[in-house]
Amino acid sequence: MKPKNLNGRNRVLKKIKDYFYLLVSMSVVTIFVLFLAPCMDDAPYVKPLTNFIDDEEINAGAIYYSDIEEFSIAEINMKNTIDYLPCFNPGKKEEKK
Amino acid sequence: MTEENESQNLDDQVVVDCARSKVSDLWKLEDCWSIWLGFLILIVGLIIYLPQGSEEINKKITESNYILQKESERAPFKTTAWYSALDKKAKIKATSTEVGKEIVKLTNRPKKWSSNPLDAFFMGDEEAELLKQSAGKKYLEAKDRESKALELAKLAEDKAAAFNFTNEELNLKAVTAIDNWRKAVKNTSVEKKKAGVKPFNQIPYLILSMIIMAIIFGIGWKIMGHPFLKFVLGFSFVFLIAVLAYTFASNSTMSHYGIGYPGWAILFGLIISNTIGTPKWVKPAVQTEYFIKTGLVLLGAEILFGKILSIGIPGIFVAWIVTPIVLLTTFWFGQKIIKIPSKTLNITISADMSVCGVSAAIATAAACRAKKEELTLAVGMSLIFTSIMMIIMPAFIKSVGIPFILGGAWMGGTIDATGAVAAAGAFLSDRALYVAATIKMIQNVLIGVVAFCVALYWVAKVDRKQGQKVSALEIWYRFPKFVLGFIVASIIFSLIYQFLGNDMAYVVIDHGAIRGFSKIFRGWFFCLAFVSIGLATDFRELTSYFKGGKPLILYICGQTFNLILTLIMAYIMFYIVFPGITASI
Repeated sequence: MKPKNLNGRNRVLKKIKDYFYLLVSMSVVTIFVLFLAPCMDDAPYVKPLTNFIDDEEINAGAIYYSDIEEFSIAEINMKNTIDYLPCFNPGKKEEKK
Repeated sequence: MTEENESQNLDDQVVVDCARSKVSDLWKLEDCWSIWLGFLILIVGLIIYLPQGSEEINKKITESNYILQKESERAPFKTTAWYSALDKKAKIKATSTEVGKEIVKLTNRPKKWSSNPLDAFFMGDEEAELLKQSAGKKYLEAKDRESKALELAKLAEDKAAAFNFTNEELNLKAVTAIDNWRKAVKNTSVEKKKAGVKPFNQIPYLILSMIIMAIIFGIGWKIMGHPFLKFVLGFSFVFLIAVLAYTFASNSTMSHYGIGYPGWAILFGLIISNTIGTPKWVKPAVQTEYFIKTGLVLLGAEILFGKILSIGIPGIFVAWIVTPIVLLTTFWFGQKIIKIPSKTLNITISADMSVCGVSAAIATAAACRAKKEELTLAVGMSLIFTSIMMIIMPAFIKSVGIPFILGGAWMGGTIDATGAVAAAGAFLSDRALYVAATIKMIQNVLIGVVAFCVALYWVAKVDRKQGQKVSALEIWYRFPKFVLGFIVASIIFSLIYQFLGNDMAYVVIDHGAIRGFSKIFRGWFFCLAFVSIGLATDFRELTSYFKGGKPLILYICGQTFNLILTLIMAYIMFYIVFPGITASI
């Protein structure tokens, strides 16, 4: 990507320009993260959900089930619900009597 | 075998290269090294955590199961004793032992921060004490509310029991009181975590992690015939960018929008490579395939086939019938209707959207040897649409009045990212979370089958010349070998899981070898891979894939079909065919 056969002065100028673009890019990203994105938090549809995620400390960016604790809770609940399904039948107990 | 020569020039472009079958391949090829390194980490994890499954733990599990059985026969709903037994069982984890805690501490990543990024790496004693005091007060209040809610729940339960659970009104009151108690329990658990805050300094641990990973990958790199020191030097830079990616992902705002480390890793890599250019001394460590393949072998161990039965048949239908239909239909649509030029881009986006987001995109892209730009595009679109769906779907479900269990199933089957599913599901209700999370987890398991089938299809049909018949041996030569490591890891861990039984496996495998060890490394390896993708990608080449907006059209059309079909199937399964299971959730 770097053009070849630049003379010394042009090379230095190119390098300064490249670092300048790097600085601008990182500044844009930082401004977005620290200032712009938090402004979206106040939107009416967004605020309840984002507050909830923050309060519950849910890792909404997780990419697999093992990255997130809520999945473990969900799984153990579902598994034990299926395995130990409440099956009490009051009719049966009265029959025994 | 011609693929290897041709792929030599495409090495920098494709996510995976292919292997040949010679004995020396076992120590010379990347595919094989990814398997050895992956298996090494998995074996170490098993050695550390399997012995944690003691007789004492077995006894505690048996006691809890006895109570669960007894209570399930005593009442037509889940009683306070039922839930208490479940809570006791859920707390038994190998990661809670001294060894487990130490490993998690040593391999910890940047922590959450909001306005000062340094908070991600360091918290002093004073600050920790201040946070502990304010959180401690809230924890005590939450605990008090929990005790009071438990008293009320027990009272309501006893009243229902006095009538032998024949009075529907009393039963309903008891269920409501127990639900309120469960909410209070959850709240206490959240406050307890916040009150347990301790001072930390992540820098030494991050340096240690970097050294360990540099050695792990460096040794393999050296034996493959490449310079060790040049790799390790470049690796330090790649690792630093990975730390930066994790840091931005742990920002509280980015975290609650579900913008995880994959997006940041690619972004920072792209910024560097398209401004100052990737430094020459870094290039030896820009090894996307090496990192991704090793990460995928570790991911294989998390694909546990027993989890398919977690939610019973309704979940299997929603996750394993709907998902393949959507995947194949979207792929066909992309090929025949939209006419996307690249098959690999098509299948990567289709898998990403229909299965489970970034993890599916990684596995599929590697299996079909997609280009790095294609994986980048799929991941980028997934992250954007995930954030949108995570916000819109719960709001829509609430406003239209869709039952929360149906809503949870719908979100679980359609929102790409696993974390976003948990957030959206939990936002609706606990029951919605349980259903959403379980369905997404079953889809996560589907990745193994998808990757294997895609690899086989590509090798047998797509990559052959027209008119050429591909023999079984040729398929073996061309088949990406790391996919075998991925499948073997899945099979072995699934068998270990079945052998131990669900309860003990939850303790030593789920919350031991996997969450306490292999998944930590897997996360880092994928992050390193995404950084490498960014560092090796020209932004102009990336934008050329957007031409005509075809990938976006494919994603939107496929996701629309996914939303409709999942909702229909979820309704049929949870409300018409298996209403009993739905009522008991």
